[in-house]
Amino acid sequence: MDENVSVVHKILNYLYLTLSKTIPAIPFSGQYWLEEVTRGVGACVMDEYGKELELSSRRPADICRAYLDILDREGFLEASAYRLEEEGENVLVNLTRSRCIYLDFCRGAEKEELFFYCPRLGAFQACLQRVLGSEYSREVTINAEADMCRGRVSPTRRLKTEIVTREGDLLKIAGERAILLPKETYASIFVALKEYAPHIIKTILFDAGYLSALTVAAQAKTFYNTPLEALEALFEEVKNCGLARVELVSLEPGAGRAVIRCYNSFQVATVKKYGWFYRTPRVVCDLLRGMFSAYLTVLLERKILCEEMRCEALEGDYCEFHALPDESGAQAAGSEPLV
Amino acid sequence: MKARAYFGVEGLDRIISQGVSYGSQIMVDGDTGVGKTVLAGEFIKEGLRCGDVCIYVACDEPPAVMRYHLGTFRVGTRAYEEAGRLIFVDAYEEEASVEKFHIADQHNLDKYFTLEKELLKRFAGQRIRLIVDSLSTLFTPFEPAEILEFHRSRLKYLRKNGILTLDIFVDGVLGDRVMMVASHFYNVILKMKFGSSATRPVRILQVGKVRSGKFSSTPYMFGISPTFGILVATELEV
Repeated sequence: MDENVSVVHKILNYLYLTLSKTIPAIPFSGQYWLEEVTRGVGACVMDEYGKELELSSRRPADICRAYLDILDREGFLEASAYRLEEEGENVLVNLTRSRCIYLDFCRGAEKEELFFYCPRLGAFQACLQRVLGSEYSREVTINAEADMCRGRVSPTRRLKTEIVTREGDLLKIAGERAILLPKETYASIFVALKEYAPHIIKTILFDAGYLSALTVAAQAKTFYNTPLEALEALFEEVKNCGLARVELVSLEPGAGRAVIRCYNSFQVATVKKYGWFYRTPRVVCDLLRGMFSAYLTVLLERKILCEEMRCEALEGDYCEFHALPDESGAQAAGSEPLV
Repeated sequence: MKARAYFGVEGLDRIISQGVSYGSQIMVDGDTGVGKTVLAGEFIKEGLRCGDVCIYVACDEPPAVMRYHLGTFRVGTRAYEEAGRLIFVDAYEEEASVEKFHIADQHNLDKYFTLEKELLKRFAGQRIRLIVDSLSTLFTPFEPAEILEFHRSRLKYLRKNGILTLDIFVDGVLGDRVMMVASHFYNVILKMKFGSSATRPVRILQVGKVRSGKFSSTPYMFGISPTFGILVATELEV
């Protein structure tokens, strides 16, 4: 490979690595943006060189091969480095790592524990979408000892996207308009409630958390195959929204049980800064309690209630929530049907 | 500062602005259907959120009724029961009870007191709220002298052990003299009555203490919301 191409490869790797380093600092995640970038690059290649695609068939593996051949002819990579196999509708991609042009990005991301998205597989997704008109997702496994990389590109119903997005002037969460509030605003709303309608405080926080979490939980349910995956994605969003860092201690989907821990709950922070809004010290994370109850109710398809059994506002350095099926048969007044 | 406890009912807690100390005994005396059990539910909810152990002795209905009631206010009772923070004692079903804790014989006050003490000992060192709903039902078969003897020693024990107690009495079940004497043992008395109105019955709440053999306190109107529970109109004295 000539020297100029090597430089191009290096710069590309720098670019992707910089993107990966930037993502954790971006509010509201951004992990799927990297996927969109890699797919976008593939789509641009198809725009420019798509007419040169020499398809031996419309089978996914042959389409990917034809795509590699274009890049080979342009001197960008060696198509022979890639071994493509068919597995039903999936394409399996095998590659000796040392021959991958994105090796620096891959290793750099691994070393610094950054988010990684394989640009090659992203480009295959874009190419397949362009030729076949359907969406593909990908997964990649790296065997560092054997110096091998194994990827799989598979059809998918729909692509995962950011839960928090910006559309023009609007910020949206799961497609619904959202706003970003400083803690001070939350505290001032709370103070006003305490002044004018103190009797509703204990009820509305749970309800607000519960009802506001239903839409996002429903979206996560369509994106992920298992309650565990969906729950982890939702907890990531809770962190991205600045509400708390959430850790799933245990989940028993069949039994409808879960134990959840929260670090740096914003409700605890509010109490610590502005004082107790209640007469006596107590657990305070009712909004999060409502959100977790909604997540689990939607994902496990049964009525689940979370209780905050331990709160950082009272002791320790985390809050702990225990979720269990609500078998009381009670329907909360004024609430939406739970399932 | 020593911990103070509240009912978890906004207007009522405003009336007793300093709260009550653990070890206090509260008597709730009220008409049938006026909302005594609802108040007990609020008291339990408040206790659970504040980290207390709540023991509810169900004498007039099975414990499932209180579980259901708390469920309507989004309280996940199972989590607290499993954590040993919410204890239901079935004093209603007797031998037919399937509860972990039940009183097989309602006609033996000594046995009841023994069970109560055993249960309280299990949670020694923790803040405990004990709610008996209703104590007047337990007392029904007994003579006044027996009731008062039991009552005096029981409340002395509870006070000594720092148990925050809410004893519910259904108005009219026990004689006036028994009620008058019994009420002297309590730190706080809550009377919940139906009052007369030209259009519809109104609920009235009084909070106070028996002094010089008489109970007098400002009456407040209150209502029960299926969403928010008991709402006391502190600005509307009757």
